[in-house]
Amino acid sequence: MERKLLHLYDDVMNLYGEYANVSLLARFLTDLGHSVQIDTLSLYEKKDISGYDFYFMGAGTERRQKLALSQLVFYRDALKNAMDESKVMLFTGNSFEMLGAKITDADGREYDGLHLLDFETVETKRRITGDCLAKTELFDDLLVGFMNKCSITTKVEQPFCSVIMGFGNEEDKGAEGFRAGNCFGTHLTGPILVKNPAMLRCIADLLGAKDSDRVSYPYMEKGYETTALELKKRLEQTK
Amino acid sequence: MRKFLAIFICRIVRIIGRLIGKGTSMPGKFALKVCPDILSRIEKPNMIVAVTGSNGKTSTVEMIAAVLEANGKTVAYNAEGSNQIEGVTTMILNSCTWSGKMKQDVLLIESDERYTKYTFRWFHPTHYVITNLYRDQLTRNGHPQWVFDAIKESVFDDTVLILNADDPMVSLFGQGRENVLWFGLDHSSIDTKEFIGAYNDGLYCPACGKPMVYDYYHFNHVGKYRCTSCDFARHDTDFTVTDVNLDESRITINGTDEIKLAFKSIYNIYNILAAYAVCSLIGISGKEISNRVSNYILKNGRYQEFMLGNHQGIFLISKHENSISYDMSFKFALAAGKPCSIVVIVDAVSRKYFTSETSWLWDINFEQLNHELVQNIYLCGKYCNDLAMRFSFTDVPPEKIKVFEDIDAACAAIRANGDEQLYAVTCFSDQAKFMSNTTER
Repeated sequence: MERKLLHLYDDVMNLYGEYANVSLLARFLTDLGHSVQIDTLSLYEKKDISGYDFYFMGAGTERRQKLALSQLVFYRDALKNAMDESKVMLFTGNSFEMLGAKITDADGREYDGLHLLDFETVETKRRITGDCLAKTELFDDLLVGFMNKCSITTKVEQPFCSVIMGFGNEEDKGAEGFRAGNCFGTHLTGPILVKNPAMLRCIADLLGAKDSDRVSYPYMEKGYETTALELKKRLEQTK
Repeated sequence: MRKFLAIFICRIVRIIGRLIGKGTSMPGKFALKVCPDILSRIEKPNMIVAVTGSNGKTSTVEMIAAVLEANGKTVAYNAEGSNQIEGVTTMILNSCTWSGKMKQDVLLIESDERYTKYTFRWFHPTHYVITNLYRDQLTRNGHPQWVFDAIKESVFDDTVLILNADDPMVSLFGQGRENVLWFGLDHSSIDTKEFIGAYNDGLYCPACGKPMVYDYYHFNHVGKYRCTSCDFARHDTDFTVTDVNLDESRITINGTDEIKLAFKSIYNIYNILAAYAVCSLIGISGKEISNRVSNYILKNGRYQEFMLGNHQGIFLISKHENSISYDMSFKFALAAGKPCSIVVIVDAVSRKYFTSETSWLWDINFEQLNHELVQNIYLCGKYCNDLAMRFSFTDVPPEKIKVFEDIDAACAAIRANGDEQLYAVTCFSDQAKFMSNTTER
């Protein structure tokens, strides 16, 4: 079966090699026997973005995020339809903040969000960076990742994960990101699917891959084990 | 009295620190506790030069100092690279008299790009070089725009900015400002018409956000750019590399001054050019600058030759979490035009802080190693699996890739296999783990 993947604003929301998520997902689905098409939407491009099975956007600088938001508003209805149709969607880093009601920058300027969800984000002058360990209801393995943000997000109805080490939506540890059906947002940045094999399988399963255990990438699995071990050790040390 | 006390404490702590092998920031830290405004109380030279940016600070400062000293000027500078306010304080208080007067001709400061605003709260540099702004150590720096904003707070009207015109983000500091001097490279043989890299930070104008176009690229997003919408464009330069001849290891500055390169990297060219600009402004002639920096070999250990078994090797410091730094090292290795093998080590991502973050590997243009000259690629260290996964998304033939978690085991395998040229590419944090296996050449 053909699967169509759309990488939104890969040309500006790309602070952390996020393209790897799309490349890896495409490889995984291909190895599982699907045919895969990858498309991108660049910043000022106008085109029909309906009919995709998977939508993805990565992290950007705060200014680039506002730039992306100024264009993404044209696609509000298309993204709303995709959400309503339970299409699989993943927004990493500050890209997920655009789907909420508003973003207030560190100088107090307000930017209207897409209002697909009700949460609100406020940027601060404080940079929050660091490694993260988190639990999610989606799979058993702990999530590993990295966070690099300056914002606080409130009024999230259902979080994506619960942070054990690192910063959550509003405070140290606790609820992080959001989940709305098959749409996921998280401040865990970068190639999150490469770093988390369980997350890759989860997304592939939602995209209709059958028996995704048939395919495995040993370097990816071992890379996950190394990082998970390092982060657990770190957690013990800082307790 | 407080001033004297601060100087006294700083020097005592420095002496003790030297004995027990401690760094250069602790003495300044104590001095600042005793007298927080000590930096404004010291009588400083008329010429205060600061250098900041993502890459090239230490090398540029080292070369400026070498030229000035060779031409009879006295210079106080932070040679040990301790570049936050504490380190700068240590250097200044160890360079002044007991009454707090600096007698040197020039105060030269390498300044950490994110913390520079704290140093220049107390005094302003007369000349301020900004070398470049790249994705660099995002773990501590956030991102280049965040760093831009931090540096902006240290830029004052009474300072002459000396800016890299070829770097769009750096050029933004010069917008709407008169006291700016620009340095950059003319179009030359090293340029490409097309962008090369894993990501392009030059696609959109840093001033207005609209698309930019490039006439040519020197490397990554550094080159001759202009915005398609506003008037933001690469500025004409006051200090210019007018010719680059890498085959003969030489460059020409301002059409007249020829400089021999000990190290054929584009970084080295920019560092030399920035040093040339500063020294010219201090009154050293182009000829005298050229004489001193020609064939200049940096003392900071970022380039070292070694032997490993029958392999001659070159060690290249490339900062982890800094993709362009890696891109440059590989470019350097391939430019030699000889068969070689490459060693990449990622064992401790940082020596200063904990992180297990490896996203930056995806920003490195490893694709350039898919090259007929490259025989083997050794991926080593704790994060060898992440490296191997990254390489599986390049077209490098898998049989060329050897993966070793253990660095010593990798070195043993290399020693037992062949005699081709080696390039070892890694960061300070992993340098010794590799170099301890090698012998001097």
